[in-house]
Amino acid sequence: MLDATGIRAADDRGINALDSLDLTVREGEVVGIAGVSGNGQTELAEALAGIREMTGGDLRVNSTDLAGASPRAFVDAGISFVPEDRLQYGCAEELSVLHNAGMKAYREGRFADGPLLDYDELGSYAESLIEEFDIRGVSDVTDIDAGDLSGGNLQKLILARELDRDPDLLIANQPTRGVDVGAIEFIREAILEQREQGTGIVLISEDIDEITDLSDRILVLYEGEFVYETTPEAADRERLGIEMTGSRVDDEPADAPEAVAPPAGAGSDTAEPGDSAEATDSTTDVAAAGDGD
Amino acid sequence: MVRIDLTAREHVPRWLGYATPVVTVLLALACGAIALLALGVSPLAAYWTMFGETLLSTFGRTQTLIKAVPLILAGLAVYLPLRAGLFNIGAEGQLVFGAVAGAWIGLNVNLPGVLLLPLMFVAAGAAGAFLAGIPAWLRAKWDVNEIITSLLLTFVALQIQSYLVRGPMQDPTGNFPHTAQLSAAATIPKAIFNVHAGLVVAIAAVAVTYVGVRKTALGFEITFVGANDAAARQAGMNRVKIYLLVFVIGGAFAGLAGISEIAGLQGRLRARFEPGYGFTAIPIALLGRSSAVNVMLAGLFFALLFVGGSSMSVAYGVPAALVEILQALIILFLITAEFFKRYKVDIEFDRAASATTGGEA
Repeated sequence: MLDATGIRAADDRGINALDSLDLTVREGEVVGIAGVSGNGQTELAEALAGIREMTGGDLRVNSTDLAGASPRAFVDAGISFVPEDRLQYGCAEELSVLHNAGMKAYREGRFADGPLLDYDELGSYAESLIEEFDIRGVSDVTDIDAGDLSGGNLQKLILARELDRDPDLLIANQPTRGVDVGAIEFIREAILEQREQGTGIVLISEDIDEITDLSDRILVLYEGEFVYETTPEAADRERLGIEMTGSRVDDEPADAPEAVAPPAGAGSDTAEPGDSAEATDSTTDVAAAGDGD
Repeated sequence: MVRIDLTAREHVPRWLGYATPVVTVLLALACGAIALLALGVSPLAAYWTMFGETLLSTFGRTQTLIKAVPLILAGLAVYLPLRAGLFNIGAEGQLVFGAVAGAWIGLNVNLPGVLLLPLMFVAAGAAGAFLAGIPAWLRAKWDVNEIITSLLLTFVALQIQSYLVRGPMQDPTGNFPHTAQLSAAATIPKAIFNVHAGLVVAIAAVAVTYVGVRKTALGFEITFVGANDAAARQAGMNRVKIYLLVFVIGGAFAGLAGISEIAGLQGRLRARFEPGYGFTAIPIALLGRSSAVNVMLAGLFFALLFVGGSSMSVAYGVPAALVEILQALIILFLITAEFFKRYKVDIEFDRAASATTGGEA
């Protein structure tokens, strides 16, 4: 349903950040994109959500051609977006929970009251989202602003809004970053539930656990290119880590010893220094970075 | 020792939002009292003349309402872009453009009043909208700062007016730099309280703006773009459309202010028609920024300030500039109030601590 070929996009400074990426997502499939931030994740997410102009390539969702289309066309094509920076693209801090809950839904016919917008209906809609997603700290949807919510509750509000549209495609960029443990669990479950509804999901994350737990297929993004593809079943955390840093794994010969390594790595989630000692220097860094997450 | 603690407010209490404009005005009046005292005038008596006597006399009330018409309309011209996060500093130019276009129709088109007056208003609105559309388009398309462009276009508008009134539009029967007197058909009739029908237009504009901003999907978009245009774009709202719309409608309101002032009050357009309402509109919009109704109240207040101020300056022989000082103080206190809205200030007077720390020092 998402069919992207050769997409290219530049970062804010105009430097090419995505180098001809091909990406397909099927219905009800979670494609995890692993990588260290700054390797094109933001640009990829924004290009797929329609808010960053692609400098090349072809993008189709449900065979609707979206290359060069307006952000509105992306929304209308059934694409939902959970941005990495909640306060930038995710919400308007100074506006009420009602406004932020209705940020995309306000156009729907059910909120139209003749030529007017039915704020009462929007209010009950916001309340229903709050209930369903267990969003805390909202005593009154018109009085409490999005900026008053904690990170986790705000993220839940954004996710609630994006999922309630029952999207065909969900782009989630670091959906659990800076969110409390309870909310992390909730958000991950919500994403998996949405997958059951047939939504195709692009999950971008730095967290290897999140990627391997939620994805059906894993791609590693490094310097704007997909350098490695695997599945959670076949995934080897160390190999993933190495690929995320861009260190090339020498194909067959290097794979052989690693094939032996997984049991040790899988047995203890926290890679001990002894484990990494066998690998290259960069592996040690990655193991450390992975734990930090 | 005074310890001052600043903490960012997580939530702005509602009462603070309502209290700010009132407190702002009271503080400005309090500071103005210092200037009055320095001039040897009792502030209480002066303020009584300014507000009390003006409001108690029929003449004062009528004058206040007449003055309020252009102030409310121009206030809306600044308020609407402000909702979308933009500053329209050029309402004065849009007002003047409206006056020129409306006066031109009034002088050159021969129709009965019921048709001519609406046509004049439409032309004035269109001219104001056109002038306001330029900074909006530059901002929306190329991110050119609308504060600068709208302000500078005001001077362009004033020069164009000066040229037209001294040239093509000049009264053919005389040598004065003004147009001919508008005919009776082109004069706005009196409506209520002895005030010309421009007041009705202003109230209608307030109502339309209030409903438009608060109750429609378009108003939802305007508010959202004003609060966070990046998120609004992500949600598929069209920033270019919103920016153009708020400026164009705002400019149209300013244009209506211009023609209602000419056809309702002055009767002819003078080359140096530069009433300053478009600039006063900025504190009006800031004071009433929470809703169009508040803009109307702020417009009425400023009208009262001007009308009462001039009777005060006559009665006590104080400079009329005092009114301008009050206006400036209101802006100053408004900015201060923003700070207090954002931060909670705790002041602690700790005498014991000051004694000990003082001793150590």
